[in-house]
Amino acid sequence: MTVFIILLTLFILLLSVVCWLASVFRRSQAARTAEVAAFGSAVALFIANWCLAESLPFGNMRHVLCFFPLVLAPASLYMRHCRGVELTASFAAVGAFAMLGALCMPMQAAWRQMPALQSPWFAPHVTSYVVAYGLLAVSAAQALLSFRKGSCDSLRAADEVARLAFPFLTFGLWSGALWADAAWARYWAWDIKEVWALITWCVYLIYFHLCGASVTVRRVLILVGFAAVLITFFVVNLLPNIVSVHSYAQ
Amino acid sequence: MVLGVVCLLLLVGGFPLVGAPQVYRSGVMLALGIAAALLALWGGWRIGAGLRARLVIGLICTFFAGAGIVVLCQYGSKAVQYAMQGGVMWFGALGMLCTATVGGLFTAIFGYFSYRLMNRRLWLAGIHWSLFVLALGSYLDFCGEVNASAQLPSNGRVTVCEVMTTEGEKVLLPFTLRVDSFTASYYGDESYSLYRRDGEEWTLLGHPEVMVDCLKFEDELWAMEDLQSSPGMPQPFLLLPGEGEQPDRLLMRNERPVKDYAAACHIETEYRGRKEVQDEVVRVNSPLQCKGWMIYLNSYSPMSSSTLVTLHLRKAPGRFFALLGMVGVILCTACWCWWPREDKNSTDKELAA
Repeated sequence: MTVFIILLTLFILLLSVVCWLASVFRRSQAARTAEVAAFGSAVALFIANWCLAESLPFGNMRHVLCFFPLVLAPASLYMRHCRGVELTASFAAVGAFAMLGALCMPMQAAWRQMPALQSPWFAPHVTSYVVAYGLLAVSAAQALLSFRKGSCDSLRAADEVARLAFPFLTFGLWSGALWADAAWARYWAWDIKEVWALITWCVYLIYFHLCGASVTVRRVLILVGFAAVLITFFVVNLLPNIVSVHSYAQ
Repeated sequence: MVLGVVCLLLLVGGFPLVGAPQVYRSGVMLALGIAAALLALWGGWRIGAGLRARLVIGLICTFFAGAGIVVLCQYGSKAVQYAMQGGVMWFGALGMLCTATVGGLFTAIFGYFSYRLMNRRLWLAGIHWSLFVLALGSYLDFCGEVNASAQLPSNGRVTVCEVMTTEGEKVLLPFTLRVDSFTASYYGDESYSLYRRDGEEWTLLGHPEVMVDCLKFEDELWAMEDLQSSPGMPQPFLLLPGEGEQPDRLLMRNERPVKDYAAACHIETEYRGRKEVQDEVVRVNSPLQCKGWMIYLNSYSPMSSSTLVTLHLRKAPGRFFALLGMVGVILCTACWCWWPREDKNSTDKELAA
């Protein structure tokens, strides 16, 4: 099963790269095919992870990274059909990076859900954060592209994606507080992960408050917000000797 | 500007420097929180200018629609639960289904009104007011929250009606509480650890691999049946000889991971001179509520004949407002970001500005 999971992860990485290249070279049919194939493989990977973990596969960073392509493909579809913004290349690139990260993480067998994690809030809390982080990565990619092109199109797309992501980020943050109220008898513990999640939320809050600011300020704020996302997601989890009530996420 | 200062202070607290996390636990964040809450109230008032009556009615309708969803989910799940038990419980399931239907109707009717009354601008005002309500709840909790803990054996022999708060004050409870039984379940995993004595301390060498009936670590093998139990040791162990004659290594079975634990509580209250009894099971993530108090299952420790259960008792006067504010922020943010725009080019206009 472990070999199968590694091969499947590699396959999704390959499909994401193909999808990205096809989008860049404007082969839209090939890009769509690769995107659908990557999504199907991500479903298979999710099921395989579930079988190996013997529980909902959100037990470690590899599980969570493997979940990214599963939520990014529908988001890409939504942006294309409902918002009229073609961002397949960015979504594929984020998916590829997530798979690359998953391959670097150690493979762990069954994980044991401690009693505090056995809550109805668990799945929606993690899922909303994965969706938000994936979308914010796409938004940051568009903000970076807007520097290169010097046009407003990419920044408009970045803004659209950030607006789609922000409610998920908000849900993740405040559902965590609601969950903590039921599990730990307090909404907030000033834990380092919580503090960084709040910093991320506040940065995007500032971004939405400065809708009249210059294009450069908005670009920079999107990138600062994404830097905060990276710190919340990776640095806080991977740095050693950090005491956190979220240590099970390490 | 306030948001920027909050971010800066959080950044200071976000780095685990010596003493820095105390910054955000100090009164500075409280003062900034109050400032941010008042600004949010003012911001909501300004954004809703000219449409304030509509905003208030819209938010009330949204509240009822949300309450309807909660009733629908809660009673719907109970109806399924009762129906699965079968027999006489079907009547209970039908009753629950009726209540769930009423909740669904509430959601439909008030959701429709809310949809008609609100627009993106009003949802934005709603976010600001929800933040104010959230801050109000947190401030009420900060001023009047009571936290206490009670340790009770699970044999039902000890009843408490008074608890000691975290500040060391005695508080009389409006009910009496005892724990009748306690159950814990564990995952079936077996794992072992090998330690080496370094002076007075034991250092972990690693985790031996579990074979069929023996344990393997590097080139060494030990039979599982050789592990002994002793009254002083929590788990079976084996002392292993080292380089000298005295044993300097310890092989020990690890405690199995806890899957779930629950305590059956017996609560007695008085209502107009009549005694009322409530027998409920408290679990992690599902606290009990009684007369304004929340009872949480905190931890447990085994005793000789029973288990000592640690319960956390909490009275939070601002809890309702805090929860309402959180739900309001989530809902209003989703509606503001995802609500269909009247002007499709608004983002372009904002960017051009």
